[in-house]
Amino acid sequence: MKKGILISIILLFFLILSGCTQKKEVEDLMITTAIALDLTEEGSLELSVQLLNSNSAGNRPQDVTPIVVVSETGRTIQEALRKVNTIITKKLFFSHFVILVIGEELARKGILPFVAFFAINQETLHRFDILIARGCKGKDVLKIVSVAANIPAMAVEGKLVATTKLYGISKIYTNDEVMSDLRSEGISLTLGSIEIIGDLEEGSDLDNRKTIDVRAYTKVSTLGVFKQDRIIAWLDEEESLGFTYLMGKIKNSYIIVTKGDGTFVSVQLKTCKVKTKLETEGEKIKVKVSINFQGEVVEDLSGETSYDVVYVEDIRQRTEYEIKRLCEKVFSKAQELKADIFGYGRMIYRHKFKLWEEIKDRYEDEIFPEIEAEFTIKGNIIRVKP
Amino acid sequence: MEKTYISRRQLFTLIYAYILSNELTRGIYLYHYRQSTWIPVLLAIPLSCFLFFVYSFIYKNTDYPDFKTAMERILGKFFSKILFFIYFFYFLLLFALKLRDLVELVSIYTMQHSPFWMLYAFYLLVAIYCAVKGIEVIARYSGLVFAITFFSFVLFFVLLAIVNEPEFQNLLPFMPHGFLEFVNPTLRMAYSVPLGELFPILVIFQYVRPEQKKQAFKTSYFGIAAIGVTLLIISIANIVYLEAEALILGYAPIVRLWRRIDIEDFIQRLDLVMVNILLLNVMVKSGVLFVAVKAMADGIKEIKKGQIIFYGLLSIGLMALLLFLARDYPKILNIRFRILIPYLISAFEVFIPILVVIISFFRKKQAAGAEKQVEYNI
Repeated sequence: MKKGILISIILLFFLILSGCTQKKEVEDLMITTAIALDLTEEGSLELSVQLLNSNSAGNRPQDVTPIVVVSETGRTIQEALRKVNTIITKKLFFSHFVILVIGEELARKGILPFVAFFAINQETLHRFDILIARGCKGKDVLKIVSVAANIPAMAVEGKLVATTKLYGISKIYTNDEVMSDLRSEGISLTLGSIEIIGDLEEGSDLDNRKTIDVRAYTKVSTLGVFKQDRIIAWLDEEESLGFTYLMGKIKNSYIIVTKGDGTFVSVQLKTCKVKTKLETEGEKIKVKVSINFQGEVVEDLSGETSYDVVYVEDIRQRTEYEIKRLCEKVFSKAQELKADIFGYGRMIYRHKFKLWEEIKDRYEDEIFPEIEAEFTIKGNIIRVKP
Repeated sequence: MEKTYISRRQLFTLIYAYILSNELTRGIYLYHYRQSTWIPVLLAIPLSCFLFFVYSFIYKNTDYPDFKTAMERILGKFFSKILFFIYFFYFLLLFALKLRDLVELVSIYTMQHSPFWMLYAFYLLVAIYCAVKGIEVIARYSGLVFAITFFSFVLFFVLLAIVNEPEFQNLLPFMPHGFLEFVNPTLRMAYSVPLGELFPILVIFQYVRPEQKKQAFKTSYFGIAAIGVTLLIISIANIVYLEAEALILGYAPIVRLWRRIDIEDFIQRLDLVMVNILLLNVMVKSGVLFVAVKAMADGIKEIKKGQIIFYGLLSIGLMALLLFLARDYPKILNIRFRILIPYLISAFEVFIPILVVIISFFRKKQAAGAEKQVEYNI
């Protein structure tokens, strides 16, 4: 009898603790697929959320809008989020949002407080990518409908992944990584960006995906360079590629080399391994970067490819030269900006801590621009496609 | 209480779960040491084992009786009652702190809207059940929890290694400011969170099967070392996978780590699974602490009738105190970090036990002398 009562009490507790009193049905949630943060003209924070229209999910007619974008302003993210509830009826659900887009204007003011909010937020997965809306507002990026994917956020994520993996001018960077770069010593953050090509008004119209010639679309752009937590400059395509080479993040990319007769050859890079060594002599620092690649010739505009050793050797040398040029270009740009985007300062902090303690206050302004770099590129052409 | 005993294996699983539940608050130690967090954990393992080795003389010098008898042999009836009295409140304090940590974890990660009193009541009910039914109940349960925990760790580490690249450079610089800065955290980690607060384990050591008691101390050291190595691996994994900056963003480092597992958008949010595993482990610690509380109460005066009423009232009082006085968690962490750990817990886990052990050596010598005298007289 006593046991029965005890078990009943425990079962009663289970009923209450299982969350039945605060249950959340899927129908009562609004799934957030993307978030954007911008700065308003008055200088306050504008938060926009791209919400999935569950009525359009599945094989519904394509003239139903798949998403809605709702914006609110506030002094903090939390305030703006709460205000969003004055517009929508359901609770926002953050577990599935895939991109956080920060408007360029806000990025110039500083992103750390906003990134930190998401870092400690338990509802998000922390695997979302952080992007800067280049030359536009983050809110506008969320509004551009896509032909490729029903949900624009998924389309942006897909483009970002493809650009990073297949080309190398962008960067997939999660919240933890951004936080780490912002708070660590000796490294300046770089983030990928997205821009709008075409007219925003037309891009947010569902008719935009009914035409063959798409009137507006989002395009993954190059990397932005930060100092502290503020964006200060943009790298161009070659510099972004050079950066990706130096960081050893090239997975699959192309190098276009110019042959002696002026025709172009496409070399597809299969693997690319990077080793970075630091040499110090007092405060004189030298960085030695060696890049080892394996590539294959996939296209020759002269119309002829050859297995001839001379031909292959020529392409190999020209590829090495081209990669070296990209690396040197981005290194010079970083030195010019006085922003150590490669994390060589972090290497000094990690491996030569005493030296770092002596130079850390002068590092970005005086030491980094004077660092000498030596790039050694070696590789093999492992295949020539006929 | 029913006279129940536990085996060496059960003692091992009890120690493992007891220490692992401290993972709830280990994050508060990490802020200052960042990439070097693992160093004090590593150093604290042998120190914690040594501390338990010192405790062991309380039983060894008194021929392995129960805790009450051992204390009475060392301190005499009057002083042992005083000791039981103060440790009764000390264990209650540890128990209350653990419950508060647990509620914080649940509120942050899983059931944000569950009322505090409900969580307190549930854990108190389990603790009372353990106290009344005996340590064997919680020991059996700890075996099950250990199996779940261990299997989960292995599985999660494999998944983590599959989808993430470790960055061992994150562990550098190694001891940038020298060794001395680690002395204080090592000592604290050895006697307090995470590897300390082991005196309650010494109290429940009396329930180890009499024939296994001598070997059981070795099991205890092995248990401390095993969980110490687990915490060490977790610390290093946190740094190499998350980097020190991300690691310091929460109270429970073990939880954030598993958030990194995301396989094809299908296997994800394992951090929540780990929260639930931690909750299972906390149940072991709360059970052990309440059994220790009961042992102290019995040391003062054994309650033969109305045990449930006594512990029920005690729990209600404790719950009321927690609900009214322990709402402000940052304040509790602050008090714990600035006052309780350096002064109170150090006294109850290090100074008083060492004093008792020293007295036990004198008593042993006295007893040996008296025995010799008897031999001569004969």
